[in-house]
Amino acid sequence: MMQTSGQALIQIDQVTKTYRLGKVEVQAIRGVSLAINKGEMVAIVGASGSGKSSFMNILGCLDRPTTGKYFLDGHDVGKMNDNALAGIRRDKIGFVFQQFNLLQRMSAIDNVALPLVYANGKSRRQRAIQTLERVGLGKRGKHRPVELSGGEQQRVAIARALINNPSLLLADEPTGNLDSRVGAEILRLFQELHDKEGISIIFVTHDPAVSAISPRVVTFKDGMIISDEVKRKVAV
Amino acid sequence: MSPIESLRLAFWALVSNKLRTILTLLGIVIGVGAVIAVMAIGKGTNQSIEDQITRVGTNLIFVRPQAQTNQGVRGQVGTGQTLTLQDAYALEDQYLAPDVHSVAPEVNTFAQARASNQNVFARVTGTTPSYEGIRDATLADGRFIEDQDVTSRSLVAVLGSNISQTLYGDISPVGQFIIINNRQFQIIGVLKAKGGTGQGVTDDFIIAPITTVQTRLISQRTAQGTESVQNINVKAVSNKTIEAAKAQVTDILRERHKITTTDDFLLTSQEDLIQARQEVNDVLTVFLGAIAGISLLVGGIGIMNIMLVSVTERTREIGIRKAVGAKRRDILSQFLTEATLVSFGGGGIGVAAGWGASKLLENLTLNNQPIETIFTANIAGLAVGVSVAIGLFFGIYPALRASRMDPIEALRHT
Repeated sequence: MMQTSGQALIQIDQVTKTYRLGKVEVQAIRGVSLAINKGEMVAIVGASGSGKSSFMNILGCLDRPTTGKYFLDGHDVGKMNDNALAGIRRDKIGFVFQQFNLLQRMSAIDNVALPLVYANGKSRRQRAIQTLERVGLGKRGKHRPVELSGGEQQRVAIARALINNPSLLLADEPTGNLDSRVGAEILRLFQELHDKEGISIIFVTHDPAVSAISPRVVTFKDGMIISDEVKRKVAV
Repeated sequence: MSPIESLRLAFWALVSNKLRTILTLLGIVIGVGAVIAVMAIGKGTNQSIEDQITRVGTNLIFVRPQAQTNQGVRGQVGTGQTLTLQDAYALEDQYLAPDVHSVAPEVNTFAQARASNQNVFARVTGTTPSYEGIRDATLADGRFIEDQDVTSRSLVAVLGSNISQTLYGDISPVGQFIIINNRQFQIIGVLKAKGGTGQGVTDDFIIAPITTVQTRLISQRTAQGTESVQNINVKAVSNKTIEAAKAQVTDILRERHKITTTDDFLLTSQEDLIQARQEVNDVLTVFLGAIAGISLLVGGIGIMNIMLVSVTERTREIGIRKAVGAKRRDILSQFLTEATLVSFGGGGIGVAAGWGASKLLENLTLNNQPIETIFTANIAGLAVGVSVAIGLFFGIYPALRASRMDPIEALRHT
């Protein structure tokens, strides 16, 4: 374990990712370096196939870089084994997916409490209800995902991502399956979490209207970062 | 993830897929049930064999003459005429045979017996007073034959309960006369019914003094001119001294018959009879148990099959769980607990089913013998243990497969 600069949440150094598809090697990421500080909100944009999803998987510790270094919150996660990565995902990262990825058999409360199950957390139910309140779903906790609208399901997913108080909230096309009005609500929730609670958020989108809410936009193309802009904050 | 959490998860997974769970359970239930029933019947049969053989008395050794050889042709065991009344009395020697409790020689013949207007064809056993104690004969009325009757060759008879019932109905025949092969015998006693079948046990016989039967009903003389007996019942002092008693009896008879090479008599203890028949039964039980065990194996394969399907179906769930921080062992324990829970439940229900089936079988009879079953906690515990082991064994592969899934791949699964 190595401590990097106090402010840096993410320190990425010359990361590459190569997949083998049969005999063909596909280079999804070709040498990316990036530093993200605590409390930042970053949008990652790019066309499909630009390597942004592969990069997201590495950021989320679902995958390891082929070469290069990745420090998350001071931990050298690039070289960790599966179990250690699972521990990082559990304790440091909250994931929000395009397809919500909720467990259909469980109530919203149980879905939200899921990470605590693996963290052996105490008073899980109570914390799940509190977290649902944080995302504005206090009254829908007993419903199962099928009984909830798309926007509500995504809020449940966000609550699940937040329950362990992660260092980093990662969202992969969080509004991709929602209509624009509901999508805007979700984005407003992200902004709120960022502004009021100071949560570090990184999200991937291909939609310029979505990336517009982020003060920092990183653009991917052909497995490389082609631009990294910091702008003034814009309202949704 | 705590074990309680794993159990809770597994339980809900099983409950939410009831039909599938029940079908998987059924495989184990049938397997365990069959094993339990077979074991219970096997054990019960062993017990009934023991009961049947010890019903004629306990700690018995039967001494019979070897086969008679006539011009080189060897006959059936017991056809020889080498045992005599004197041999029997010699076995009562307290010094040479301290482990012999008592001795009762017997000769058997079949004769027509008639009384008032009824008649019956019955076995007539000639023996001595000690027969009563050795063969656990109990009198319903009257008295048993006494030494006096043997020495004076009295024409007295003790009737088996069925004979008495056939000839006299419910009236006690003690004091009445019965004609056996045209000789008049006075009935001095009636035996209580014993029930059952098997060697030497029947209520269909008449007992008379051995000397009377030898001289009045049959006349078999040995080469030396003394009267022969067909069987000598020897009762050992206790079940621990049966072997010692056997050795003493052998020694005495060899001495008396001046035997240097082959014995002209044969000793069979009740233990031998029980053992021989139980061995046959044990082989059968193991054989049937193995067949039942195969169905348990099939049940186990059923678990594996269902678990594999379940793992594939829940690939996405596994991906989600891994994404939020489940480690390999968390996933492993989730699926393994599920498999074990099914096999444990199946084992438990199977034990109950097997026990129920064996109880039902007890109401049936086979060849007029009630089917006996013995159900012990040991068998039940073993069966549940084995089925849990089967669940673990067949669950480990699907669970490992689940635990090794790549979270990205799993999440992409639809």
